[in-house]
Amino acid sequence: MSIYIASFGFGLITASILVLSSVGLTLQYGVTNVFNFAFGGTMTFGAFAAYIVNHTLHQNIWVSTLAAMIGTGLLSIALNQFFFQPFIRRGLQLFGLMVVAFALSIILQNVLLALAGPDVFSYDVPSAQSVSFGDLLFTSTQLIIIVVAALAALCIYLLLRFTKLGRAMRATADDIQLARVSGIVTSRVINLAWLLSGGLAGLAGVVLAMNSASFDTLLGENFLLLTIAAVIVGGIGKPYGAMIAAVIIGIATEEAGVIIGAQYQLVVALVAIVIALLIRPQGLIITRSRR
Amino acid sequence: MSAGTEYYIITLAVYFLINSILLWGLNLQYGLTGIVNFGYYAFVAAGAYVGSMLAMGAPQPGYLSQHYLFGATLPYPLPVVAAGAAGGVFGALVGLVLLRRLRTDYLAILTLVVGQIAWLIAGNNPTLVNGQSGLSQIPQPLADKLTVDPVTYNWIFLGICLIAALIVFVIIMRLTRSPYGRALRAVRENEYAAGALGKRPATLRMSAMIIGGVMAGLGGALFAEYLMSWSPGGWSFAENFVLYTALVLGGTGNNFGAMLGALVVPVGVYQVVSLLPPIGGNATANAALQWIILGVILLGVMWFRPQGLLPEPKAKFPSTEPETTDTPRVAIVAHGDVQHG
Repeated sequence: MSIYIASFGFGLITASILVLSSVGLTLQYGVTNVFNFAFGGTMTFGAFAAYIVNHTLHQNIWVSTLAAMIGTGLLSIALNQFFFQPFIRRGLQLFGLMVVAFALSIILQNVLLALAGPDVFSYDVPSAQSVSFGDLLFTSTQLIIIVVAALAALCIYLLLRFTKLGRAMRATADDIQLARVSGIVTSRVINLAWLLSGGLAGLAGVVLAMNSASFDTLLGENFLLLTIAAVIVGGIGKPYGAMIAAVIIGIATEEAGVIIGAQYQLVVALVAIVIALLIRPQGLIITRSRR
Repeated sequence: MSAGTEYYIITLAVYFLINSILLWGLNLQYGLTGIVNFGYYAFVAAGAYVGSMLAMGAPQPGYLSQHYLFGATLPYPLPVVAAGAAGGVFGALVGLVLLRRLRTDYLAILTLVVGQIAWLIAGNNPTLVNGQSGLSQIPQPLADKLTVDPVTYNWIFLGICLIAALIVFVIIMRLTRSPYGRALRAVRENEYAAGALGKRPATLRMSAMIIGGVMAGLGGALFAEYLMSWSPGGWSFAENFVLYTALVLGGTGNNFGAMLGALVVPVGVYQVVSLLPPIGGNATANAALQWIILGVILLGVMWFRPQGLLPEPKAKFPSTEPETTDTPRVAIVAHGDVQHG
């Protein structure tokens, strides 16, 4: 029994990181209608940016995280402005944009590989103490990750619900022509959405790297399929759905890993994608319709 | 010509022929029918595994030997034919599950996911196809029948590939330039209109999946026999990317474009980059550079010439205009009717 509880703990951590990455990816899809495969590479970029600030400039890890988030936010804006928007303006449709996104992800990942090499890296962090809740065992770093993810989810919710930018983002995601007609400068809103989701990607990348003993240039790619699973199960373009789906998938894959073997964890998430897309492509999570 | 150079050129030629076969299958699915199959390389792997297992013989018990599900030693060319059939069956299965009316990008994700599931299961289950180590010491066709030295054998293998490619080429050209090919293109352009005209989009799509799968399996078996080994490391998702880049660059929907793509991308790009000296003293940088170049090529083609180097030939219809235009089209007859001539 206790192994299930331990897996629940692992699942919570995976879920926390997933919340960050899936909300980011789904925001990008919501406003631009492109499945940004380069998101994994963006996460890896964030992890490495934090590494440079942390290791070479000797800043503490949280300052490095902030720097990384700014870096990935800017990278995402650049990806959107210089690659996706021109192709969209050309009239390229869904599949074509996906091909472009995939090409970008290959380029990004391999540029990182060329620069960093095949080595593994880890952050300079103070060694973590263990904290236990009954059968659940966490390190203090992991607890911080969970808290950070919860806070980020809360901030996203507040942003989307109560701020003008949030409403503009929701409007753009719903119907871009109508949003323009209502006076929203959609190009600016889209860029801000990419900045925000890029920041989330960077944060996700850094905490993912923090959670692993060491990381390499494949960090983001390996996590991308799980992220896609959370995005699809939650409903593509729906941030709240992504949050809920992230928790479900994070915990479910870890628990399933206990039963069928850890190497098949990802298969569980992938099968969830297949089922979701076949049965209910708009997402398995039913969120209250927003007024 | 030294034996090394000879071997190198034969390798390039074999890669060209096998990739042409693979690309013709992909062109049938994506180029002609518009099915976005991002899991195509799993079909290739299915054929590679089946073809190998049917030539390697039954799995030997014991800790050190390779573990796989079944095996036989069938005489050539049965393993390759069976590999094609396996690819076709895999295509049928995937088609059954996925070919509902799904949006293009959903279908792309689903096929990607199915391909990944296959890859993960094949790699992690040691009893299926020997897990991550894969199958090795795959016997080459006719190698035991003919006792020749390795260099001459390579020429023979090249001949086998040539024959296979020719057969596939004849088949694919007949299919493309036939009512069937036109029906596939009709389904790609507007499946509802095609349905209204009496074509059956679901059946046509399924047939494209199956036939494309057969070609993928065929190519995969030849590949595995040439390399004499086949493991999950060789068929990751990124390999699909190579094929799609090749097809998009060469010309989507054009079988000659597929061949051109096979020449330029798997053969050209790989060889050119491997000839470069190591950059920055970092050996992985060269491998990474290959992929970067591929990505840049794909982006460039999508931007500057999305139809590819050899675009799909446009259908020509005989003109329905009358030859002479001397007499006016409208003739007013005596009692005031207007007639169009």
